[in-house]
Amino acid sequence: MIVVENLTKRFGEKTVLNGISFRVNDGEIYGLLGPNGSGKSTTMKILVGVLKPTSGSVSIAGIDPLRDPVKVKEVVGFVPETPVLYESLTPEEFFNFVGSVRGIAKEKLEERVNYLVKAFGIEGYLDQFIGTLSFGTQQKISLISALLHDPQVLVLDEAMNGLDPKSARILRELLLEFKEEGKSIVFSTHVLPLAEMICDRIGLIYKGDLIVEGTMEELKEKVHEENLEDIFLKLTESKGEVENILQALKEAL
Amino acid sequence: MLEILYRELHYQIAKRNPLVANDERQFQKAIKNAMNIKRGIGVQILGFLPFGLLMASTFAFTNEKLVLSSLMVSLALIPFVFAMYVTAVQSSYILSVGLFEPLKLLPIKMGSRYLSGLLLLEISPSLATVLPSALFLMVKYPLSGLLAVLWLLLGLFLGHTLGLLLVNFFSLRIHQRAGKGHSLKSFAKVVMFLLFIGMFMMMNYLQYYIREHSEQVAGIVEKYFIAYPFVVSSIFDPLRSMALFLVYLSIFGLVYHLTLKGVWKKILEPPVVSEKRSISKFRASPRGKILALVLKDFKIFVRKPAMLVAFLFPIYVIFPTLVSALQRGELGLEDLLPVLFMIGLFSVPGADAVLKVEGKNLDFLKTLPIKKRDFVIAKVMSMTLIPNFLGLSLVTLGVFYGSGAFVLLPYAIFLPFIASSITMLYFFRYRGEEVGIPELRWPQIILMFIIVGIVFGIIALPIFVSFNVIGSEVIALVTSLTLAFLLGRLSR
Repeated sequence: MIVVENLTKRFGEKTVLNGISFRVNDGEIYGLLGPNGSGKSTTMKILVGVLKPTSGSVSIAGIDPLRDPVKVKEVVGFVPETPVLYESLTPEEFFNFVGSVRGIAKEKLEERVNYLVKAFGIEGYLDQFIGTLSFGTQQKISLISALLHDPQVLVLDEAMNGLDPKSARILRELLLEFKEEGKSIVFSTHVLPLAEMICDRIGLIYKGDLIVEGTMEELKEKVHEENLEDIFLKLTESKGEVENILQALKEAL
Repeated sequence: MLEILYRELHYQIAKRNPLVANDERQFQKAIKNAMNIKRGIGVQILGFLPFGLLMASTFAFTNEKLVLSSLMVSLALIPFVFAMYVTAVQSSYILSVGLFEPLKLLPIKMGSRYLSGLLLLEISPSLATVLPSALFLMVKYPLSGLLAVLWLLLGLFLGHTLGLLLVNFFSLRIHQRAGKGHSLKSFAKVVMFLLFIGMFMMMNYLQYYIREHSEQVAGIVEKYFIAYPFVVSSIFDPLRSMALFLVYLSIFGLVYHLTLKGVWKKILEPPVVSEKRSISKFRASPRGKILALVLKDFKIFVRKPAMLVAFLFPIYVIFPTLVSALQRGELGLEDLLPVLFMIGLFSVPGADAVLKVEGKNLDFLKTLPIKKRDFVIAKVMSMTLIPNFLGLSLVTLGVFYGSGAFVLLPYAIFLPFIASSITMLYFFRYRGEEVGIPELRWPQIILMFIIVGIVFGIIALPIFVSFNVIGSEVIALVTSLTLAFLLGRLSR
C-alpha cells in the first residue's frame, strides 16, 4: 500500500507539488495523470526515495522513504520516464549487476530474466552493448530490471514510451496480473484510453495540486464528461484553448 | 555557446553532489557560484595559486641559467600532464552526461570546438601553478621569461591535444557486442595506452635525472632538446626557441584541427564495431553487492580506456624505479620503500575517475538499494586495485632480484587502501545513507595529498628513526583497521 499525505516539493522559489495526498491500495492500479510539468515525475521520484520532499509524508508498504530510503528501494520497482542505463554494459551484464545489488539468488535471477527477456522479445540483444540499442529496447531493459526482484510496489513513469504494440500489450497484461497478485501500482501515461482501460482509480495533478481523484465512473459523474480525454482537457482548462488553437490553425493553413 | 555548456556542466555536477543537492539553500548557492564562468575559474585559480607561488620561490633565489632552464623543463610537465588528464577523463564524463546531445540536432559544423573550449576553461586554472615561476623568471630575464610563458601555454595545448587524441581513439567507438575477442582487444588497448603513458614517464625520468645532475649532463639536455618538455630548456637561446615553438605550434595545430574533426564526426555518428557472436539465453552470475559495483566499474574502465588516465599517477611513480632496476640489475629495500609510499600517495587522484565513471547513471544507481557505505567501500576498492597491483608487482620484482622485498608486502596492500579510504571518507562525509557523487575539485585533491602525506609520515616514522620496517607496518595495519572500521560505520 502507498500512502501520500500533504506532499510538498519546492525547487527554489518554484512550488512543484502543493500538498497532495492520495492512497494506493494493495491490488490496485492507480493512474497518476497530468499535463507535462504538472509534478507527476517529481511525485514518483519522491515515492521511490530518489528525491526528498520539502514537507509531507510518504509510506510505501509501511516504510517511510525519508527515514529508510534504502529499504524502500528493496520493495519498489521503478521505471523512469527515460531509461538511464550503463551504456557500456550488455543487457546480460546489466541484469547480473542489478540482480547482484538486489541480492537475487542465481536460480531465481536466471529464471526471471529468461522469462521476461522472452516475453519482451529481446533474446537477440543480450550480448550487445546497451548504448547501441534502440530507445524501445532500452525501455524494455529498464522495465525488466525493475521487475527482477518481484517488487511489492511498482512505480511506472510513462513506461509504455517507445514500446512496440506487442510489448505494450504484454506489459498491460503483466500489470493486470501483478494487480491480481496484490501489488500496488502507480502508473503515469499520456495515453488516456490506456489509463481508462487498466486503472482502478485515477488522480489528476495540475500545477502541483491533485485536482480530482476517483474511479472512472466517479470522474464522469463529477465532471459531467463522457471520456477521460474530455475530463482531462476540461479540468486542465485546456478544452477551450485546444479549440481556439485548432480554429487558428485551420485559418492559418 | 561556451557559457551555456559551462553552466550546464556545472549544473549537472552540482545536481549530482550530495554535499549540496540535498540542501536547497546550499544547492542554489552552489549553482550560482559554479555556473558563473569568471567566478568558477577565479576560485580554482585561487586554489592553485599558493602552490604556484611556492614553486616560484625557487626562481627568486636562483640566477644560474642552466638551473633555471632545467627547473622550467620540470615545470613544463605540469600543464602538459594536467591537460592530458583532464581532457581524457572530463570529456568522457561530459559526453556520458549527454551535454552534447542537443548540439547534434543543430546545424553546427564542428561542435567539438566547443568541447575543446569547455575543457580548456576547466584546464586553464592549472596554469596558476606554473605561470608565477615564469613571471619571476621574466623579471630577471624578460625575453626568456616570455618564452617560458609561451612554452607553458603550448604545454597545456599539447596535453589537451593528446588527450583529445586519446578520446578520439579510445572513447568514441561503440562496440556492438561483447564478443569473445572483445576482452582481449580491450586489454591490448589498455596495454598500448599504458605504454603510451610510459613514454612520457620515461621522459619525466630523464628530465628528473637532468635536474639532479644539471651541470654534468648539460649535453644530454642539448641532445634531447626537440622532445617536449626538454625543448623548454631552449628559452635562453631565443631564436632557436622561437623557431622550435613555431614548429611545435604548426604541427600540433594541425593535429589538433584534424583530431577535433574526427571527434565531432564520431560524436555525431559513433562508429559501431560488430562482432559475430550472439547468445539467446541469459546466464546468471550474481555476486556480492560490493563486488558487483567494483566489477561494473572495471568493465566500464576497460571499455572507456581514456578514463584510465586517472591511474596515470601511480604509474608515473613506478616507471623510473622500474627502468633504474632493469638498468642496474638490483632492486633494494631502499629503492622500493619510497616508491611504495609514493604509489600509495598517488592513489588519491583515482577518486576522480572512480566517481566520474558513474556519469548520468547515478540517477539509476539511486533507485537501487545501495547504502552509501557499500558504495564507498566499492569505490575504495576500485581506487585501490590498480595501485595494489603495481605495488605487488614491484615487491615481486624485488623478490626476484633477491632483496628480501617480501617484508614490504603489507605496504603494497595497506598504503593504497589508506590513501583511498581517507580520500573517500573525506568526500562522503555528508549525512544520510544515500548514494551521491560529491564534487571533486583539484584544490581538494591537493588537500587530500597533504592529509594522506601527513598520515604516511606518521607511518614512516619508525623507518626514519631506526629503519624499523615491522614497527612501521604495524602502524599501517592499525591505521588500515581504523579506516576499515570508519568505512563500516559510514551512514547517518
